[in-house]
Amino acid sequence: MEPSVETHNLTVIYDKKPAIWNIDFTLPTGKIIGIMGPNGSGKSTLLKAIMGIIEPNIGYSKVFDKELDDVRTRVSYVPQRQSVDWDFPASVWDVVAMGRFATKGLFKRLSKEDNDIITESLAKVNMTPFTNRQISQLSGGQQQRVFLARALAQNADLYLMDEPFVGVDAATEQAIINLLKSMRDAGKTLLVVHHDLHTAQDYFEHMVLLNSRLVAEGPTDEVFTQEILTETYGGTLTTLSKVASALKEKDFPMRHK
Amino acid sequence: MNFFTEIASFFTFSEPNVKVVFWGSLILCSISGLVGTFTLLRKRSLIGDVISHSVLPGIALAFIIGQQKNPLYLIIGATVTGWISTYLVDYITKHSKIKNDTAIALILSVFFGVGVLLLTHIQHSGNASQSGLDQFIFGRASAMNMSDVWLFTIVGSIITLLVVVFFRGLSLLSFDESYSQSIGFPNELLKLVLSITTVVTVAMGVQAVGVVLMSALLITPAACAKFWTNKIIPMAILAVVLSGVSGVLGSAISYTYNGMPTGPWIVVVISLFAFISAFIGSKHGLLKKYIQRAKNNTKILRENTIKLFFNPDTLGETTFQFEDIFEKSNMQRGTLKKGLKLLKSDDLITLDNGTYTTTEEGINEAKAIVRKHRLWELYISRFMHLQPDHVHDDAEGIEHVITPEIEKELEKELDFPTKDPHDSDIPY
Amino acid sequence: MIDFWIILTASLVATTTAILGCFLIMRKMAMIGDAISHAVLPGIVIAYYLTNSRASFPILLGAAASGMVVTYLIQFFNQRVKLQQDASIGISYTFLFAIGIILISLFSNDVDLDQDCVLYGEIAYVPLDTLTLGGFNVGPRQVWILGTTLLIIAGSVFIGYRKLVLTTFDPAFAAAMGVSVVLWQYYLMAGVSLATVVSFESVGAVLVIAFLSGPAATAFLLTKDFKKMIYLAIGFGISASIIGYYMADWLAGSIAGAIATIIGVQFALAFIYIQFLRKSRISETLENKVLT
Repeated sequence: MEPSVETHNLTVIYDKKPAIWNIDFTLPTGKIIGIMGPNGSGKSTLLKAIMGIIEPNIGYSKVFDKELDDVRTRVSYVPQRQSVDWDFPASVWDVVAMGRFATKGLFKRLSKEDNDIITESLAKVNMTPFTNRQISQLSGGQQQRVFLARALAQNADLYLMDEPFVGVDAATEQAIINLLKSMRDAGKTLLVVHHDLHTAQDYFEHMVLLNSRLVAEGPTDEVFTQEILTETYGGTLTTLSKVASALKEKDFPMRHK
Repeated sequence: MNFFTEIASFFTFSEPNVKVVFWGSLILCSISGLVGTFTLLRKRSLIGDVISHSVLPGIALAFIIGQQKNPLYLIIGATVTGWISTYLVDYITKHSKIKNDTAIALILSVFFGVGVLLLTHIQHSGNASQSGLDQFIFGRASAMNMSDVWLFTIVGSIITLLVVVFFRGLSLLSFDESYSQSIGFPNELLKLVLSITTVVTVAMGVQAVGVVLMSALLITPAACAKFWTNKIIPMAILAVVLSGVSGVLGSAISYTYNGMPTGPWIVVVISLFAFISAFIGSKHGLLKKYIQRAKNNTKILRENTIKLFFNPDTLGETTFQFEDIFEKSNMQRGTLKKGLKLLKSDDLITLDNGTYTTTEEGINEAKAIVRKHRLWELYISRFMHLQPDHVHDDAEGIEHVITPEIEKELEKELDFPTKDPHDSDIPY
Repeated sequence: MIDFWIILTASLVATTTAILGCFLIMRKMAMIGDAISHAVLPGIVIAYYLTNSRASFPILLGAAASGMVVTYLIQFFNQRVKLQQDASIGISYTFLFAIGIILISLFSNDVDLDQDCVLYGEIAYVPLDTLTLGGFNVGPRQVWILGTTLLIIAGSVFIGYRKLVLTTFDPAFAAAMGVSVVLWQYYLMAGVSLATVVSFESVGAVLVIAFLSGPAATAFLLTKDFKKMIYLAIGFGISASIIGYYMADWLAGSIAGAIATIIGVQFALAFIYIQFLRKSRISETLENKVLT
């Protein structure tokens, strides 16, 4: 089976962002995969590096065994809800329609098929009654559903989601996880950043445990062990962060040729 | 006309009015350097921009009401509208979805527009003593008189006194507002002190620099100082000095070339200080960065070269011909020669008849760098769960940044290991 | 006829800047507009001086060059030497503007530019400078220049609308889709620079900020649809131009200043209206709660 995402020595060390070191893994397809780790452990950084939103200092990643640029239409990214300004004057429909822009380019009008996909995506997240609602009037959970609907409208094979469960109500959380499961059953791969340990085992079949470095990666029943969790959540490696700050402070090249 | 003799004549105070200009600009610019330090640290530099544009309608109104160019009236008028403008920016940002930058741009330009409207209205209504009013737009230090200077001295002293009295609170407010709140400092009072001093400073400063460029006088001196120090007292002092010097130099140039507005010259001088500071400043200065990089490269070259002399079998002395060592390295010929020269000048190796031999010190250095390399390999293979064949490249880079302190920690954390992941000995 | 030309000029400026302003304020870049509008001055002055004419092309080149310098300076201070963003903007544009004013003083004998007009324009003189085509007087030169600019800006925004909205609302999502956020940023900045430069003669460096930020902000308060926001902003800009013109006439003051004043009044009214609406809505819900 082709791997969904693979990273090779992926290292990102920038000012003011949680760093990641030497992340090296190959993830399977058709699974709900959790990226777990404490605050500031570089979970979002990892997603952004995979999506090419930030440039890694060292290493690279591949998606479906290809360069990201060759498979972009097969990948969908769901940013953190707080990363956008919800006062932007747009309706729920407007935001979800953005999911169709990738295939439509600059000019092509949205076809009936596109409109159907948007309607359907909204129905899947139970947001149909809010279609014309202005986005600033939505609750946190509803905003998250809009983001998911936009991702659904992209009709991708791989979904990278940054903290989709943060700040949502219990009902939304349940609805989202059910949606993810049905997507998985349809053969999609879902890579989800999450930090709640209590629900992790129920949600994910496969896990990436991160704390600046990769602690473990594998099927949940293999890696969700007390020992690995202690290593993941048992504080940062002080020596590692000292080396990182020495690199930054002295403006040292990461690798000398 | 010789530029330098003209400038020199300014500083000899040969004309009586020169003294006025000198003291006037010195006081105004120094005060704004002082106040600007706090606005810069509070990341509210652009508020200075708002205030300076917004004093214009106040000046025009003061003129309409007072029917003459009375410096006290003008300062009061300017202070009032300047203060209203900052209040409005905060109010709009707080009570609507309008973002801070939009509120700043809006208030700044609308107040300025009102000012322009009033000013042109005055001009067209033909009031005889209106002349001199439009000097507020770009400033004309030469138009100041002795009573202006007295006023600046008094108001400036009050501002300085306020800043000194509230110094501790203002510094804390600027560095960490929420901490200041949490230990019970009267944040609201402090903010009020700061906004009043800023507004009054701007209201006075427009006399010399004009409304458009007054914001530079709040921002640039403090920014210059920030390239040299992170401590607030030296920063404030440096900002005051640089600002004062720019004020005097700028007005000297403007005074010498009659017809030149003062504001732009002061701003150009202080901006030049800013460029110089950005290049050679000790904090984030470019030159410092280049030197650091050059140092890094030298260190890397030196360590990579001495590493070639590491003798894994005896851990002792090694001897090499140039060609042998060149083959072993994957450096350019010239680079290697440079590296060897470095080692020789540091007495890590000796050169005798084309043969390089390590000294005692050289042996230790070679061991040290190999030790750091292998410790790091072991560290990342253990804590990052990397395969042994993945660790070498990383260690090639990191070995050069490991300080003795980090090295000790690594040893301790790895429990004083003897073997690296490739099962080679770690040399001590 | 003079009334008509002046109002038309102001309306053209207002329309162009309103379109761009909507994107600028949603991107939190209103102050970058401020910086660019001040910083183009030295380029304009040097171009005036070298070509000794008001021909538009060299002026545009000069302005574009200094626009690039200020963008570079801001980036230099902010990224290369780690100075905070607001201070980087402040230092860079005041420096260039100061240079511009000094150049005007130096070249005052050769350059027909007035210090004050740099700040608030000379819209009243626009109708005097007319364009003759094939022997016919076809109206003020500025109106033609501004009209062309409006067409270019409106066309570019129409072409890039989707990507501009996408990169404005959610840059991370846009980047993940393979849309270059930086490219579209420059696309917009190029538009802002062009609009500022051609508006310079009529409304000046400071008041163009009022045109850029004011109508867009007022529209933002009142609508929940981005397209409507653009149309509303254009409407506010044009109505401010008309009302402002007559107010200036009445007060015998600067036309551009009066328009900026009206822009401020429009915003204030919209702001008060919104506050009032919110309060009445809160008290309504309170009443409902008490009743039930």
